[in-house]
Amino acid sequence: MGGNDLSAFQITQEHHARAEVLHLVGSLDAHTSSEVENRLEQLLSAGAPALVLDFSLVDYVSSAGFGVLLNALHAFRLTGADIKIARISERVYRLFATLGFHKIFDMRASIAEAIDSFEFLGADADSGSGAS
Amino acid sequence: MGPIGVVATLSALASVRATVAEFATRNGAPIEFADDLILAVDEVCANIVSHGYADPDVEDAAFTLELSAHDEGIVVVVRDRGEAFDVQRAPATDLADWIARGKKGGLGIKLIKMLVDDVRYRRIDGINEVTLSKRLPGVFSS
Repeated sequence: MGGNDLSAFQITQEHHARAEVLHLVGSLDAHTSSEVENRLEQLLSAGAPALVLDFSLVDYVSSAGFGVLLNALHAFRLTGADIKIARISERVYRLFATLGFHKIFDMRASIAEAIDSFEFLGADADSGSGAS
Repeated sequence: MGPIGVVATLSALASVRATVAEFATRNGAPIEFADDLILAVDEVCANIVSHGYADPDVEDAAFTLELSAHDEGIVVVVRDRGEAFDVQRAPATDLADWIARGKKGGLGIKLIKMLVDDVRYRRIDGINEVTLSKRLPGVFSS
């Protein structure tokens, strides 16, 4: 019994004028969470003020994943930045709700709504984006 | 279903989850039941890999997974030869404290105890045995 493709995790970063968006694909577990942690630390170091995590293709989160997400949220908010979660599936939302984390993370139905919800960025419409 | 051998690596956790999912589905468990059980088993196995076999010099680090379906629910037994760790008696972290401090670790034990109805641990002849029991909805303990 091995991990192989089942354990793969993909992160694609998309730059928007008003926020960075990370499209996450896979299961966020003890194996993959360090990859996400590294990327979040890079963004924090780079001074990204607004980050949206696209959860539409995240099918699972374990305690390791929750730990990474919560630590990142604390770290971002300490610097005046913030993280929003967008497009979370019902099944994964239920895992968040089990721990009460649905009340800690700001969750939005769409990426556009998540970007618009960053209060410190003003109400101007988002313009321009590009994947990197 | 006899015991399934798993090499104790973090990359094997995905296969562990797939095995539990397939077993729960095949035995008619509702999706929420399956999701809870998958997460609890994943946390037990992640602990074995990360802590039970933390010593890199251990050779042939592995564990076994044994699943059985009963009228009342599903029972999963995980056995390993790593360091002893009594998950049954380990204190579950205080969730509010964990959130406030952003503490690393401790959340897995909390999840295991939240998501299944019974957690048992024993160590016999150098083998750790964790038994997780989850009752199907509508089935009450006598």
